[in-house]
Amino acid sequence: MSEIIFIENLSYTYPDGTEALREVSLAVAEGERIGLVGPNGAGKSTLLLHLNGLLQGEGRIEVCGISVTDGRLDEVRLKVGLVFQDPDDQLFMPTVFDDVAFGPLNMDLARPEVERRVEQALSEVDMLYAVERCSHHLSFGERKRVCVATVLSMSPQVLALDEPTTNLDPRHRRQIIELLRQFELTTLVASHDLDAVLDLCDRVVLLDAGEVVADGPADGILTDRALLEAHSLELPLSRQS
Amino acid sequence: MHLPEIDKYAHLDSPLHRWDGRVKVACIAALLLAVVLAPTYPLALAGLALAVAMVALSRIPATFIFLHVRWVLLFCLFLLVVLPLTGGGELLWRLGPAGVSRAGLSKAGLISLRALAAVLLIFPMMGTARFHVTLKALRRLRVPSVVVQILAFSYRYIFVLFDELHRMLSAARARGHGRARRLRMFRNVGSMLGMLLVRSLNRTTRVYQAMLSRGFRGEMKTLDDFHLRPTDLVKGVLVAGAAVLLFTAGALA
Repeated sequence: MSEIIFIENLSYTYPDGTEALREVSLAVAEGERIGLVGPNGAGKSTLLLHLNGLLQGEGRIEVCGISVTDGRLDEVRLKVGLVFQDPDDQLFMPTVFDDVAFGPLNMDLARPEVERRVEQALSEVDMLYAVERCSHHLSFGERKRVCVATVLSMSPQVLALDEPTTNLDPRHRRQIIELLRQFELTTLVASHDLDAVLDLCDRVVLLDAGEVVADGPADGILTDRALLEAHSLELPLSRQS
Repeated sequence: MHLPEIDKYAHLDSPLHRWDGRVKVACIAALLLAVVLAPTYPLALAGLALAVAMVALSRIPATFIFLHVRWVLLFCLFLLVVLPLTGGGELLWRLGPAGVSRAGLSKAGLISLRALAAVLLIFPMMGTARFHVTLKALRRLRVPSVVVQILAFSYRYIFVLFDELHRMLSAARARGHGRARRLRMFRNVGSMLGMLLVRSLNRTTRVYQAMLSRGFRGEMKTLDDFHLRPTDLVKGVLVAGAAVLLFTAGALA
């Protein structure tokens, strides 16, 4: 397997002086599903924002062999589909169609191809029935699924999701987990929902205070009670007995 | 939280609903301009009659129209009270130290008629198609992209902002906001509005990041489905013709 994401000694400090990432190094192989876990403020979301250059810290990041630097951000952003935590941030267009078509239109694709991609992406998340609806009229669970479609329509190589299961009721949470399991894309999931991470991911990276404190198989890290508790986490519910 | 939406009745079927958005917006905007420039009572009344006719044609329920127009009526009432008292010139009646000026009353009446007609015309113009379709029409009419984007984002996020404000108010009420003294209540509302501003600023940053990560480079690209048919042009000629007539009659008056 070849590396699709390569991060070396990445550090980032917010303008207010908060050190969000410290010397983070990470290599992700193609097709891997990785869970980024850690307490609040560990740097999970900040790390995701670096994957397509929305934030740029010190250190080296390469995605699909492209260095994430100013001159090549357009290329990188086609490769990484970033889904934000709050659907109201991700869905900013007047209708579901316009939102899912936003990426393909920015890729300068022809109209028939844009329409094909929108239809396919919405079918994949089972939301084709809402194509003409306004996103603020959809339920939270529906909006979460449309969020995934907005990046699928760009055919990314990497899917990066920030808290995909937060605020969802159990049925919609299960739906989104099953949906994400179907994809064969390289996936990074930043989440506090350790059960979802355990269901979805083969590998887990534990961050705390901007540093990688553990990196290994999900089964190993998410069953290590002492390690999790040392970093303000606890065993996934399914492993508590 | 429920808010009245301008395009609530966009799903109805009427000659205005079936009219091509680009021609509709351009022609009604021209008529609106002619109406607000009407210099005499007969012309302003003609404008109002046209506006009422178009509203009736649009089949938008009168209750919905009144819900929005009542604020304009309030504004007109204010004018009808203030202008006659401050107009000067020939007085119609004398009420103690103040007098009702003929010129002031006439001016207030004319302004009220024009304002009412103009506001009524907004409904056939903006209320007979989904708002995003109207925005696309504006873009095709070469309204600057920035203006259309501001309108689109305002429309998308006004509901989100109201929801946030509503949640903040509920949280405040749960902690005794309703029982506070008036001055404290004003202070609370002030800080809530400030907080809302900060939150919306943070949201702006996140929305912009979401746009950038999907390849945004400054131009909002959308697809539209406008097709010009002969009937669109006929309606256009009628409405634009009425606008030109009103305008010319006004210029000659």
